[in-house]
Amino acid sequence: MLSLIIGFSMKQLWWGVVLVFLSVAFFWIGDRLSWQWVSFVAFGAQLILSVGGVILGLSPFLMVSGAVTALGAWDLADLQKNSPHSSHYQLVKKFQLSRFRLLSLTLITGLIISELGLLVKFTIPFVLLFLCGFLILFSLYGLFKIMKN
Amino acid sequence: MTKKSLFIATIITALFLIGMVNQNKSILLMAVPFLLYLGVGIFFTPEEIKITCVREIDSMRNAPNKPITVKVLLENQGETIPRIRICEDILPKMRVLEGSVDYDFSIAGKSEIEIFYTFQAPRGQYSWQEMKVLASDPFGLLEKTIRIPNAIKTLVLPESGNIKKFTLHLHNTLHTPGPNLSRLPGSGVDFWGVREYQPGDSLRLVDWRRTARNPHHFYSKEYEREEMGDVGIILDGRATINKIDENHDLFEYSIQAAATLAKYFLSIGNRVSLLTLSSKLVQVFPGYGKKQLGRILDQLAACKPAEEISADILKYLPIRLFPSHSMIILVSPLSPNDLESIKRFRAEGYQVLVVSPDPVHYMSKYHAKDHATPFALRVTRIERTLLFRKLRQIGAEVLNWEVDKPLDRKIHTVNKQRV
Repeated sequence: MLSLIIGFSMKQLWWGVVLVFLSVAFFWIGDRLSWQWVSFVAFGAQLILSVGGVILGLSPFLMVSGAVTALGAWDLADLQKNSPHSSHYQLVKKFQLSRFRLLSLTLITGLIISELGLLVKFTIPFVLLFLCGFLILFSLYGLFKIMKN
Repeated sequence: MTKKSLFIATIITALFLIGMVNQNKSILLMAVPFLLYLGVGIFFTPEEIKITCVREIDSMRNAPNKPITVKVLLENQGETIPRIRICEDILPKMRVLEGSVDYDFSIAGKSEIEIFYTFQAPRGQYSWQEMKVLASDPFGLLEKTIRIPNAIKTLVLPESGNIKKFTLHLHNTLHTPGPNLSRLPGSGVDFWGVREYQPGDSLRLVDWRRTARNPHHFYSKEYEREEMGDVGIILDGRATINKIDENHDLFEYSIQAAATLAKYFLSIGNRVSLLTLSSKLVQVFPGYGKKQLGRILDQLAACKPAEEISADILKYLPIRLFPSHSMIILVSPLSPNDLESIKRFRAEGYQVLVVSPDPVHYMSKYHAKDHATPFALRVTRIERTLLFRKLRQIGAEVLNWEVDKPLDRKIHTVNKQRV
């Protein structure tokens, strides 16, 4: 969130800063009131702000890290819903710790790959890019079809 | 497939499409952490799940509002499951006091976990048919639902109070020793009469005073024989007459009265049977002792008021359930239409005692009041008194029970009414 705020502040797009704050507040209220859908909406809003920031020409490094942070916050909100109870506290705590570790590792790795990709200058022909995209989307489709069956 | 994974897949698709349309490398690279997140989820999704899950309850029969402990034993015979959740069906009226099973945890391969929770519940039958377990990757992206058959039930028995001993003269008794005076000479404690001594009479029975007054003749005292009686309890569970309003009904009190009476009559040594006009027509055939009490309480525990049932069922009572000339105790708030059924019982020779939880008194205490309520209550009370008078005229004994007073105190007035 901080990276999004810095990104929008650098270009003096104050409406962007306000929207980031609003999405955070929305996220916090949803968490307090245990409204599950709110975290989805707030996450979506932060992602739209990140993509919009890139299109508006803000620092892509900050916008990518903003999107990654939003993903992390969204997943942690889901993790937090699990309130451990009395005798089973250790059991839940152990799971929460291992999930937090795996999430951190995944997001840091993803962030490093993305930021490195931004640093390295390379040109991919549009056709190749299109094929890559098509392949990934087709894989996702196939995966969900298998899961559904 | 969960909402989460669909959401992530939509984001990846959207980022790819926007990136390609704008020919923007940054947006395409933004999708990488999301792809990695989904990839890690897929990688850690357990392929084959071999688990057994058993639910155990500490006791089958429980006193009302006693905490009941449920133990869930989960055994994983396969590989490690990174995220698992047991979806326990908390039934309506159940109030969880301690612990819970509804949370995520992980379970290592070839290991087992025991989870406890305690709940409290009012009278009723609480049963489960299966256990639902959700297993997934650590992020909960790709979920598998496993249903494990595990039929188990527990009963919360109705409250059954104690009644001090009172005499209820049964007209007809079984020829087996029991607590009721049979109007026949035999062994007992109540004096019955004196007759001439017969060979075989115990010397303890000789009436020495009369023998002294009549030389050369011996006389023996006789006592009234005490025999077992047949008591049949009919519980009227018709919702139309038990229900006062949305939040109040007399059914629980009727159940309580039936349980208390069954306990009392069995404890003094009678044979008791039960018929309930509830959502399920339940019959407990005549029997004695603690086992019979257990049978009756089990049935009363599972009883629910019947929405659509006619009192016409009472016109044809099965003779096996209510032997001829036995005593019938009808536990019912009563409606004027019941008079015909009770007349029929009397005509068939049954001795009838009506224990009627008083709906008028209950309504006057708990129901909302307006200016017309006192008049309505008065009219209803008069109607009820007239009904009772008619019932007494046909030879039935009636006990009007104001449910806020103990049944024990009220039941002793049955004999006083007769006097």
